[in-house]
Amino acid sequence: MPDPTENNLSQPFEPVRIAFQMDDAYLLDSIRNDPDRSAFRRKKYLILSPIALAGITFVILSAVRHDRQSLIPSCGMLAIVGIMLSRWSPTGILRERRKRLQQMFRQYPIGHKIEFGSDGFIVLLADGVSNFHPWPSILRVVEQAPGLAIYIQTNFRYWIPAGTFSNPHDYRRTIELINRKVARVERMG
Amino acid sequence: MSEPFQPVRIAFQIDDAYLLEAMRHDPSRNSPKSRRKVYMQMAAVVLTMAIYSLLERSRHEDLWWMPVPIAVVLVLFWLYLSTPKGRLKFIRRAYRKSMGEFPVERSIEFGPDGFKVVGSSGATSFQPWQSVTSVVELSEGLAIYLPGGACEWIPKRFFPDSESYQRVINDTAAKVGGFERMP
Repeated sequence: MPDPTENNLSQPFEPVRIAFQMDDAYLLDSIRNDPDRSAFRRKKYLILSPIALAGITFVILSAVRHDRQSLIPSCGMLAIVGIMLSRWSPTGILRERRKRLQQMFRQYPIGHKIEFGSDGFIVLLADGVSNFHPWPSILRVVEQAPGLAIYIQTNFRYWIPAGTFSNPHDYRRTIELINRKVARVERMG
Repeated sequence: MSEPFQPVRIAFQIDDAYLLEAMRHDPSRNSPKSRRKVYMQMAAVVLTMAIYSLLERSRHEDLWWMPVPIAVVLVLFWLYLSTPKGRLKFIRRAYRKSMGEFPVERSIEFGPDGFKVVGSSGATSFQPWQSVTSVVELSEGLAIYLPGGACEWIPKRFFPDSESYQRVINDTAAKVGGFERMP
């Protein structure tokens, strides 16, 4: 019986093409499936907790001392915490990313086409802009049940939902290719 | 019939000297409108702190003067960030954080349909001319503006000869809607 691994390695990789719309649903999915989301949450609470705590303490102290004017800076602190929580929430991040995409492409939602090949993957964007990323340049890939997070920079990743592949076989083939070509592949969930 | 456009290729290193030069030659950042915006933001902070300080003084608070040094520190930090040296520090840090290295190698190939940027990792990005927002020709090079406000600074001296530079200029002027010349 032929060895399936050997067969995969010797056969040339038939390119896998996917196409999807970068819309609100896609962006929310990408934000919710961010592999570094828990680290981001930790950082967010580490920054905001002391400010919120100080604000609440000052509000209580002002109320006890019947000092209405001291309430202004305390409420300011709590307002800052509120604004930051809203900006760092999934919908806040979605708003920011949507705005940025609208600025960059002058349209929204944006059609995306990605082709995975043996040398790397090419992303075809609106306006004819294209980006090619060779596999050796990929820093990290995180495989999750809902899709793949491909890091081209430490703070920039492509989110590829599993549902955008035309069939599970193509998705499996792409994962196998990534496992062979990318040095750092992690599995989560 | 005109001759087919021969691609022009340049290679350079993004280092401190290049970034400083790019900042000096970015017409949008150095415009009076952009400077006015920064000064107005600074004035708003100073004014808010001054009003708050006066209110505290009228209430005979001991620490009424506290907002003044806070405003001074904020303004100094702001001024530092608006200087090329201050911005350079942040850009350098951003490069190291995202790409893991600095300086970085880069090559650009100008073709008839657009230009291709190749990074040190081999990642390639193709930008067609129709997607370019505007191009400003300065005496020392070209500032290419991309959607979203990003600017590529291409010094004239990176080109192998003045003829190839002129060919790129002519082609860009013909294909990019927002092309302008600045002394």
